[in-house]
Amino acid sequence: MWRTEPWLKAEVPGTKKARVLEKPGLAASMLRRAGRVLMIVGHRVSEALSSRPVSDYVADIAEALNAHIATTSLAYRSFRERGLTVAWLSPIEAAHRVTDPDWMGLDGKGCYKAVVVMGLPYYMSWLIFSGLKNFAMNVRTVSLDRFYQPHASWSLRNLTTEEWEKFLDELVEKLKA
Amino acid sequence: MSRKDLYVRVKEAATRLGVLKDVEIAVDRILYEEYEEPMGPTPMPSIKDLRSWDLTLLKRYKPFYMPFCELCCLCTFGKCDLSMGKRGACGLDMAGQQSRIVLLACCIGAATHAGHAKHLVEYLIERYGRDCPIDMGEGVGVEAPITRLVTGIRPRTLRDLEDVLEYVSNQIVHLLSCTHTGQEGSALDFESKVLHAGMVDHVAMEVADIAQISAMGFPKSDPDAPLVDLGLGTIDKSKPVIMVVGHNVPSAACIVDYLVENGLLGQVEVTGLCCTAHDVTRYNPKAAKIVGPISWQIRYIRTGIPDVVVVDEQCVRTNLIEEAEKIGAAFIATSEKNCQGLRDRTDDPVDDIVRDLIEGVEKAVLIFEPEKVGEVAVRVAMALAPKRRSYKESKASRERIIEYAKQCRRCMNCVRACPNNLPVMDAVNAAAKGDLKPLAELYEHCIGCLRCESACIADLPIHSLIVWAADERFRDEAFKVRSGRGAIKDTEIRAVGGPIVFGEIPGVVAFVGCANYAYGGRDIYEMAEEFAKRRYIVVASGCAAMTIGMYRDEEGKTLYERFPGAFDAGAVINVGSCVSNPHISGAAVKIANIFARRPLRANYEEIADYVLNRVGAVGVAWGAMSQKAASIASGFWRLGVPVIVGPHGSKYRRALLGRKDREEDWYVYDARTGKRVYGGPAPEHLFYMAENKEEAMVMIAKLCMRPSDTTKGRAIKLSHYIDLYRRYYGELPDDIHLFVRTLADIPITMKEEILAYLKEKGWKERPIPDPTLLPRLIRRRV
Ligand code: SF4
Ligand code: SF4
Ligand code: SF4
Repeated sequence: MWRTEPWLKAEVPGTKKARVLEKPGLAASMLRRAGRVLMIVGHRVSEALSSRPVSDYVADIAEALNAHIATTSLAYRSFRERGLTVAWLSPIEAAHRVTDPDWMGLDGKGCYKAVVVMGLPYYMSWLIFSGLKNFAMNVRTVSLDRFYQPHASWSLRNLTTEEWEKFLDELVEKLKA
Repeated sequence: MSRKDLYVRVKEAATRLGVLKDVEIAVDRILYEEYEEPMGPTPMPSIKDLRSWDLTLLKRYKPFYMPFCELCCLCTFGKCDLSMGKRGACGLDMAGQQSRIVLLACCIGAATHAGHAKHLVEYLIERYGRDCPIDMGEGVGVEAPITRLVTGIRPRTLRDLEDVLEYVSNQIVHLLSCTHTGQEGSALDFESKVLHAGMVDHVAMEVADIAQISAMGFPKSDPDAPLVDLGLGTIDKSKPVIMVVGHNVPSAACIVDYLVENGLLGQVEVTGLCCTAHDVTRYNPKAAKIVGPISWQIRYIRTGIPDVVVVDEQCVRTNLIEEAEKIGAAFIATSEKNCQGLRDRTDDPVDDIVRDLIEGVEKAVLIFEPEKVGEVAVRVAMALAPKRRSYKESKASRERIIEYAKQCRRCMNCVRACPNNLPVMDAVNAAAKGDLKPLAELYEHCIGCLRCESACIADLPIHSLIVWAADERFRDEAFKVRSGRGAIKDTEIRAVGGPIVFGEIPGVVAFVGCANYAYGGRDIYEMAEEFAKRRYIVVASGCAAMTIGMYRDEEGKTLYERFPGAFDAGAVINVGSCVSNPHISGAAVKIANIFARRPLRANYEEIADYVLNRVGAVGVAWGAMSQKAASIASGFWRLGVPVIVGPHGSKYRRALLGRKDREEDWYVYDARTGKRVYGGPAPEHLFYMAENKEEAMVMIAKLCMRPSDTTKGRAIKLSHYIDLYRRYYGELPDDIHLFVRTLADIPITMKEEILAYLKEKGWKERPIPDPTLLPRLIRRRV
């Protein structure tokens, strides 16, 4: 049960809770179908998992989905080096722009249909998802962090680091396939 | 006005109307005593009077709501589910509800400062008389810039402050009433009211601080205010120790008075946390020490060192009374706002109260009279100290920590309760195996909230385990902080007003607010150091002013020992406690008034327009926690000063964000011609949450830019912005073309690179406006 509760215990959500992404394969096909994707990325993506830092997974996912990245984390440089479309835009600012249906995105070519969030402090993601849920109702939101985020449309369960790493490995593999 | 200043009683008088008998006449004092400056357009503004200014700001800086809670349970129609476009039974929508909660928070904040100021002024009047003059020291002609600006009153004595507070109280009543079910329905109008609450809060704070500075002899705008001790390591635990916590200083000051009057100075340690600590050291820098910010309350009390714990109001941990009991310390509550269920002993003889506390007949008492608190606290501390040796000397052994850690049942509740998501369980389990390092490493990041302990199924004193593991570090905390200097002198403003407005001093950065840091206090210290080294003017107040003093450089010096305290480039200034914040907003106001000669009296809109467009000041409330912090921030916004908060600040649930990508949002009037011209996204945001320190640093530099910067000033500001950005992100920022107006704006050392970039962007020169958002300030119309 605790697997699909908010990770921070007091963060009790409202009446609609995120659906759980159980399988990397399903997550991959959902993300592929999602349309234009913006990834909102926080500084915690510098965390090192056993084989590589989380920021590498972010880059792989962005590359596979042709997604854009908004971040102020120090991983900005590595995203640029990978040739990704990335803007120095804070998580709050990026989310705010997503609520504007007239915003044409980082490349000026159209609004985003989905937002993926990774690497922010838990409560900050929580609030951003809540902002998007209520003020960008047509945008699908996805948490790929290792903790359940009830305000997203889709979220992972609360996972151990090992489970999370395995999920991300498989997700990247499926997206690349 | 409730007080009558002219009161005449006539037994019998013959008049043309006949004979009058037993006539009583009471006349209100003439409130607006004339002074050299004529009255401006908005004396004592009501909610509606500055609404058009608010809507101008809110058109550019749009609220972005992030509902912290999607439900409303404020009336019995509820709970109402407001999520995803639904409305409550009263018709309110989600944006309305979020802004309503922000308004509630700001009303709480403003009321808290107003209540604080009222109690303080009443006390000071009782002690020093209504005619006690307002005296902010040499070189200060404009003694109360915010009060003059908002109310039109120039306060000369404590008596005048009562009138000012009556205005403040009235406004808070009206504002709070707006949050009732079925009142305001527009989110933007709620936001306008939020700004109003912030503005009156700055008046309330200013009243409190100028009253205590004037009557209690705090440093009067003194750049060389003395350095005072900060940290547990400065406390001599062999002496009796009194711990004071809160914000309203009379009780703590009376403790010091009693020591002085009875020749006991130096024999008892008076140690403080939170703003009472700032203010008692401002009262007597030799008689008191600062332990640390709000988050040090529990770690300090659990050392067992304090013999007596004295609490007043605001930000006091509400179960401190239990913690005091655990260490056998006496507890004294002193404020009617915080009675703790205790028996009121105010009218009892001191000897009886002292005896009861020493003998343990009562472990805690409530005393409302500060003088009595002073005597009781000192006498009880002196009597208890020798009996409490064992508590003071108790030090957790390594074995004891390991013993506790072994009882962990790996439920993870601690981690899931910790607001900073600290890896508490892993650290406890490492300790169980004999490795205390992971626990000790949590010390820097732990805000002492005790949520982990509350949640622990094994009842472990987790916070204490962390502090014990870091025992050496905690006990070695010995720093210096410059005692709160109070206001900025008019003479200082005259000297730096030009360089600030022209941009040659790149900005004023104010580190304010509480200690709810997401990643420890070092971030804010590093920010303050960085901007002081870059010769910004760094000012600080409240807990933030303590935190930036709690780190040293390689030579062992704190920021306050390294940088001067005068309001000038490269300074690090502590203005004082929370209620000293209006000296910061007041400095911005004084720049407009004293340097630029804009009329001050009751002229809010024009001064705010000036500050927004010309004064490169930014507030950083990196650990903002309280409702007071919310209202303090809103007072800055209405005045045109942007505020950055740390990640926890996102829980204020609303940002005020500009959109630099929407060119049309950034047009201003050129006051010389009346033409609407592009002024650039400066300042880009009004209320911004940064996710990490590097982002905050870049944003601080960026938010100091203003449309009126001279080319030289803009070049200096841009060079700091670009340099910081490049340090962290390895390239030029992608929005320079929005900030370069003419070729002369380009920092000389970066010329070629920036020119190439501008070319790529198709940049064209633009005129530098004499910017204003107020059509009435246009001098010549096109
Ligand atoms: S105040 Fe309005 S939204 Fe809140 S519970 Fe009552 S009816 Fe519902
Ligand atoms: S006391 Fe420290 S470790 Fe415990 S929950 Fe609070 S911040 Fe986390
Ligand atoms: S809450 Fe207590 S028992 Fe549970 S993991 Fe944390 S320390 Fe162990």
